[in-house]
Order: sequence, then structure tokens, then C-alpha cells
Amino acid sequence: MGFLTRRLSHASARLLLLAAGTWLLGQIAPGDYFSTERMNPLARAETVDRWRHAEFGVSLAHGVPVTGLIAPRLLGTAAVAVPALVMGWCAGLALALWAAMRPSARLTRALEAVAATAQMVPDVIAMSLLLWALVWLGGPVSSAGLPIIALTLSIAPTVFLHASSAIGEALAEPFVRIARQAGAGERKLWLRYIMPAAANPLISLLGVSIAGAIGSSMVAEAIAGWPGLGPLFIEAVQSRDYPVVQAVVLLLGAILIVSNLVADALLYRLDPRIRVPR
Amino acid sequence: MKLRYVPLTATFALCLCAPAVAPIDPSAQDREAANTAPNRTHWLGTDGYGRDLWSRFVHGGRWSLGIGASATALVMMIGTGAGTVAGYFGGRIDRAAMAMVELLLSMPWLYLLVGARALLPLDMPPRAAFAMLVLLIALVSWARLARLVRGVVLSLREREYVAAARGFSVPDSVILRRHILPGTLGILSSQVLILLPRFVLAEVTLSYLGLGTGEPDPGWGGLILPVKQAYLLPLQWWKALPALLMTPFFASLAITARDAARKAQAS
Repeated sequence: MGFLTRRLSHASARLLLLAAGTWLLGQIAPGDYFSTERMNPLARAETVDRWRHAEFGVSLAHGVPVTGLIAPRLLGTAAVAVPALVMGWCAGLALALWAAMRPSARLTRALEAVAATAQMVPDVIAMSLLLWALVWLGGPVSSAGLPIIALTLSIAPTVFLHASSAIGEALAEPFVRIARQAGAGERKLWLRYIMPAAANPLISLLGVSIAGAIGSSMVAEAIAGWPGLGPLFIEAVQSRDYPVVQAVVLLLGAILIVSNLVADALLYRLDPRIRVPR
Repeated sequence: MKLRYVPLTATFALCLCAPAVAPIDPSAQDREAANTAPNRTHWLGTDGYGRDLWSRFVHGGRWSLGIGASATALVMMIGTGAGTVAGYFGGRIDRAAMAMVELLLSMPWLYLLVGARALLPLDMPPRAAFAMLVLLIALVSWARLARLVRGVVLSLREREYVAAARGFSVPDSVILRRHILPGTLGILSSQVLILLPRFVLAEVTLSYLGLGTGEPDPGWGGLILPVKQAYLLPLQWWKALPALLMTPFFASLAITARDAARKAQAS
């Protein structure tokens, strides 16, 4: 079986498992809201029917369809996570490339120390302190600015550290040395040899990074009071609004599975070592 | 001792002997002394109810670190158990266990943690809440370790001394105890340090989001909350002190974890 076929079947199995898991969550959930439905087999059949039509039922706390409740919140989270992911990745990659092209060990080490320190402060504390700093400076607080900045600052150091070590490893490869000695120009050297070799671990990081961004985004949204999925989810947990909890878990799990699949496809496209059949 | 371990050990030591270093009851309210700046009785000042922030920091640390450490211990047991059994016996057990692992790993961890919290009541007596949080964190987080252990066990199973033991019809339980489990110790010892900060942070995040134990019991999450009220901070700057004190602790814990991960990678 080819790499992509295997990945695709793997992803669909994961999706099925995820759907089963969230369904189970609704079945074992305690509390008053679900008891009428659980006692009534007809109602359960109806739930299954609704799920087949990709509807998640009605929110118990708000009395409106879950789909309509979640859609604007999903856009809210996307409005934070997507720019933050793009900016964090661009900043991390650019810094790593810049540091690698300028072979000053002191600069690289200084940047790595800063990134490692930034990575170590827990999200909750870092974001709270950032909010404080922004208020103090009179910056954006109630807008999307704070969560985007906070999330970017939590993504960029990780990307930088990984990119920096991937480029370092690629530079040490024998084929890079040989290409340089054979007289390849700097431009060709970077574009043709070093960057593709460094891409593999970074693409694998992409899926993990998206998952991390979604998680950190919950904290950032909660701190900034930004109407994304995070606050809705926390509220739903507090008020035992299971249909909303189930829907959000299913949705985010599906996003993760698909983004991992996209990362795999990218890897397949870019790394010839994977295309060789085993 | 190296400088970077100092915040870690100092905080652990302080929290272990919390009653000695912070004799003021962390949940005792002194309304006369509400919102006072740091002074000789209240080293870090007091909060809006007149509760001593130093006491709440130290006792809260006891709570958060206790939960983190207990959850780590529990995950070690579940993860090692599941991974060993799955890797050693293989077949249907392996497939079922790995399906569970896949399921747990296919969701954002923080969302999974908060979502699982929905299954449990919000208000609980402290002891029950402690056990509940430990169980919750452990049940959501054992998957990665189980997969790591399974990988190690799969390769250990093929070793010659295991085959020899099987040939002498040594029972499985003895093979597991004598030949397989000692081989997983290396990975377990580095994983302890990697998991501990995550789990302490999980408790802090849960209580920060209002899903932990709740008032009046201290937890570190509640202590970070005032930092969010940014408009108050220029007036009541001392309320940020507990959060600032936690930062070196987490940094030192993270450095230790990174060293452990590097050592594990090198070996």
C-alpha cells in the first residue's frame, strides 16, 4: 500500500473512532439534561439520525441549534488562530534562516536562549502578564489584537527552535558540503539543498503546532474575553451543555485529523525519501 | 547544585513545609486588612477578602504540585501497564489499546481535559476534588506514554534472552517482571520529568478557568486570576507577585524536563 493510501485509511479510522468517542461521551454524561433522552429509545434513534445529517441537535443552555451557535465562534477562533499561526511560523522561520545564514554562534545562541525562555513560561501566566503590559502601554485589549499577539508569541519560539535545529542538521549533511565545494551558488545551495532537507521535521511539526495553537487559543480567548470556541466551550462545560461539548470536541478533533493528513500529503510531495515504496 | 534547579527545589521545599513557612490560614478572611500592600505580617499583601497571598501561594502550591505529582504517578502506572500489556501480548489486546490511544491523541489535549471535566460535578469537597482532578488528568493523558512504552516493549520482546526464557517455559508474569519492565525504566525516568510540568500546569489552567476545585480552597490557578484584571494592577501591583513567583519555578521545571528529553534522545 502506498504512503498516502495508508495515511488516508489511518485518518478515516481515526475520524470514526473520534465520532464513536464523542457519542459515548453523550451516553455516559451524568446530569438532568440527558435523562429524558436516555430513557427514551426513540429519542436516541433520533440523535443518530441527526448525526447522520451532520447536525448536533439543540443546545440545552441556549435552546438554539448547536450548529448555529458554533459557526460564528469557530470563525472567531479561526480569526485568532490562523493569523497567529501564519505570523508565528513566518517569524520563527525567518529568524531561524537569518541566524543560520549569518554564522555568528553568539547571535544564534542568544536567540535560542530567548526562545527557550519564552517557551518555558506557561501560557496562562505569560498571556496574563502580556495583557497587563498591553493595558499599561495603552495597546489593543478588547479587540482580537491581544489573543493574536499572545498566540503568535507562544508559537514563534517553538517554530524557531525546531527550524534552527533542522537547518543546523541540514547544514551538516555531506551533500551540502559537496554541493558547496562543487561550486553551487549560495542561492541555489539554500533553495535546492538545505531548505528541502530541513523541511521534513518542520512539516511534521505543523500538525502538532496547529493542535497546540487551538489549545492555547482557548486560554488566550478566555483571558481576552474574545468570542471564540474557547469561552463557549468552557461555558458549556460549566452548564453541562453536552451537545455543545460533543460538537466542539468532534469538530476540533476532525480539524486536527485533516490537518495532519494535509501535513502528510505535503511531506509526500516534498520529501522524495517517503515516495520510495517500502 | 546547579543554579537552574534552585527555583524548582526551593518551591517544592516551601510547599512541602507550607504550615511552617506560612502560618496564616490561607482561607482565613481578614476584612479589615483587605487589599493591603505587602508588609511585615502579609509578605505578599492580601487579596480583596483580606486573605494572605503568601499563604495562598505556598498552600496553593502544595495543592497544585500535589495534584501534578499524583497525576504523574498515576499516568506512569496506567501508561506502563497498558503499553507493556499491549506490546507484549500483541494481537487483539494491542489493537484495542492502540485504538484508545489513537482516540485520545486525535483531540487537542486541553479541550479533551476540559471536556472530560464536564462529566464530573463542579462542586466537591476538597478531598474528593483532589482525587477527581488527579483521575481526570491521568485518564486523559496516559496515551502518549503508553505508545512510547509499547514501542520499547515490542523491541525488548524480540531479544534473545526473552526468547530463551520463553523456551524454558518461564511464565509470562515472570518474564514481564524480570526481563521486560526493567528495560522500560530508562524511558520512564525521563518521562516523569516531561509529564510533571504539564500536569501541574493542567491543574493550574483548570482552576484558572474556574473548573478546578473552586473557592475557598487555594490552587495556583486562582492566584493568577487577578493579573487578568489589568485595570486594577497599577493600583494593586502586589497581586501579580504570586504569578511572578511561579514563573521561575515553571521555567526551572521546564529546563529540567528539556535536559531529561535531551538525555533520553542521546541514549
